[in-house]
Amino acid sequence: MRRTRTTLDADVEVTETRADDAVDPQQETAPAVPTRPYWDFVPAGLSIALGVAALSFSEGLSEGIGAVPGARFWPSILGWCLIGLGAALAVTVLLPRRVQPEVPEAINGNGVLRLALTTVLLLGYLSLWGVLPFWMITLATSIALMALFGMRGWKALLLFPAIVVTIIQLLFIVALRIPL
Amino acid sequence: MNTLLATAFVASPTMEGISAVLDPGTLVYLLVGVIVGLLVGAFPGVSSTMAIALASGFTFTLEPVQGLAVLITIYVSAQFGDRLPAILMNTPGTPASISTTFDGYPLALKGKAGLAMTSTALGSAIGLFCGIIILVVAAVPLARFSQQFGPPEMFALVLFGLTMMVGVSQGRIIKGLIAGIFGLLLAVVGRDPMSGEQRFVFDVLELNAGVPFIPVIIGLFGVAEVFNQILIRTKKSTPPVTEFGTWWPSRALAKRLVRPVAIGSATGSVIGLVPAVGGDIAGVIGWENSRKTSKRKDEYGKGSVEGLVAGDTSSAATLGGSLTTTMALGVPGDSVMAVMIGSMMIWGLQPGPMMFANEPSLLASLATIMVLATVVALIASLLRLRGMAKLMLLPKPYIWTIILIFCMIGTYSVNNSVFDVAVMFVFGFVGLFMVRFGIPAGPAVLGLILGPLAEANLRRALISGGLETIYTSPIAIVLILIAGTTVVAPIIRRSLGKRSALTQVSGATPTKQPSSTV
Repeated sequence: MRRTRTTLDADVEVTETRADDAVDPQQETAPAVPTRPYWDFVPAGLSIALGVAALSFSEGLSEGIGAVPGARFWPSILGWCLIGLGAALAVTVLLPRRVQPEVPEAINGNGVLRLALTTVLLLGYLSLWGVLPFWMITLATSIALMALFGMRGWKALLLFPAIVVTIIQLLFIVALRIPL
Repeated sequence: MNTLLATAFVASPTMEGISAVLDPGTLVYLLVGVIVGLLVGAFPGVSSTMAIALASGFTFTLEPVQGLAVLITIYVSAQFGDRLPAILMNTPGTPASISTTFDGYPLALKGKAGLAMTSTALGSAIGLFCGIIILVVAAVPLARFSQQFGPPEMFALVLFGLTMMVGVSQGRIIKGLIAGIFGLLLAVVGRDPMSGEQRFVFDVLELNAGVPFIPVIIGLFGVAEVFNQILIRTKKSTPPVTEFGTWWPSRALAKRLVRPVAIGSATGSVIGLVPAVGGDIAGVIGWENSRKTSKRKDEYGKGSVEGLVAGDTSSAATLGGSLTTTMALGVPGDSVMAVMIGSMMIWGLQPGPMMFANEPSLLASLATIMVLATVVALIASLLRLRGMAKLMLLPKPYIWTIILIFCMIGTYSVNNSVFDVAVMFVFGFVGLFMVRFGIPAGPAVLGLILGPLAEANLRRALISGGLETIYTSPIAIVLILIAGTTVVAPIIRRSLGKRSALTQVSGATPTKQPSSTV
């Protein structure tokens, strides 16, 4: 027997399952992920770019004397390795695949916005360290993050942030004496 | 005579190591580790690697034994906690409990969740004790053997460790290699280990000492995972089964479980000694080994207590072997151990051939921590943690908020440096990129930690006699050959159209991906 209900987090759909539900293990095996054949060109290109950058930045380093390798030796090897591996990855994209690559879960449009706002919020929090009392900005950040993540109600927006701030004060400022 | 012997024993490094752990202060940290580990395991999406990376930020002020008590106990306890969501929600708490879902969830649906939880806790404890025996017996001889290693052998060993980690990145060998080289390149930043020349510092003063690895670790494993969870569309989640049924196996069933426990222990103990092969793979192989030899093959995957126990015992048994190679060779047994090496370096401990010679009491401390952690976590698991099932319903935003704020403060507290927090954010996004494009983060961390060792030993070997010193050393050649085979064999096997051992296993089993693969 299955039915659905919505929890506090509007995005989460919970499926209730009862013990009398039949289970078919084979159902679990079905991979329900799409394939993205040319997606790997991105890491391949970045690997090559990183390798080229490593080689060009190594140019100014000492070469060494005779058989004694200098500071340039190791980063140059790594640079060439990155270029070679990037090229190899690009080639594998063009080859027919026997095994389908694992594809991560799809990105949600709201998720991108949520991540961008989270980053802004955390950078703002960091910039206020040492400017305002630490407990105050931590409390405000916790409340803002919980609200941003879709949580509502006094437990999520007041009680939980208060607990977080108390723990942080006790652990970092009282016990570890971190100058925050 | 007896008094003399007793005095010698009391003053021995073994007693010293044990008493350091039995100190009340250390025991408190151990208890904290158990609680954190059980919670970490119980929350899908929070992996042991992430928790230990995060805990590194808090443990740097502790004594080494106290810090190890926290980190190792988190790792041990997570082996118990992660079985809970696997059994009750069909979602592995950490990758190590993938095999738990094969039979654990079907058992829970049959109303036997209590039996599954008790059996898996007992099996995991037995597996952990087998691993501890491996640690006690093998660590010192392995370290003594590796003391003969000169620069060529050390370079080959580092290469071996890196490729082993890459080799187990199923189907992602090239990406794993790219990650490993990226890590090695990060380790180049700072001063040249031989001449002291500045490299890739770009006039940033803080980079003179190199890329700080704790912020990198926390960024790659903690922040990146949370960022990814924020980014993706929320999937349907199954609430935990709440009917537990009976808790203890009958005498007949207990008798039947001896065989799968033995198979799981043997499988996990051997696999644990192979650097970089973690509990996730060991669990699946242990499950399959037990299935092959069982008279009740058909029950496997449909709610077999034997299958459940075999996989979990095997997965838990890898810990001792993993700790052995990490401590004795300095080559991390898995990604958790890579993170742990980073923390140990902050305390001034350098895992590797000389560690047990320099710190003779450490082996006894490690074994005692693992024994105590196993016993306490087992007791907590057997207390029938019904409350933990309710905790699993806690919405993700609570976890995200805690992790993000703790990551920032934890990173800052290592050096009281805002620069470190900025590095953590940068690597949070680097890690997010890696997650999105299927690039494993483990080899990158390993490369960062082992990079200076690899470079210095290669250059020393070249200075002392050229490449000849490497290819004329039997140990170095064997290690390089194994490393090469690890990378090349899967490619050749795939091109010949043969399926690898693990693919065969997963083809025969109901597979379940962990919510977090770090």
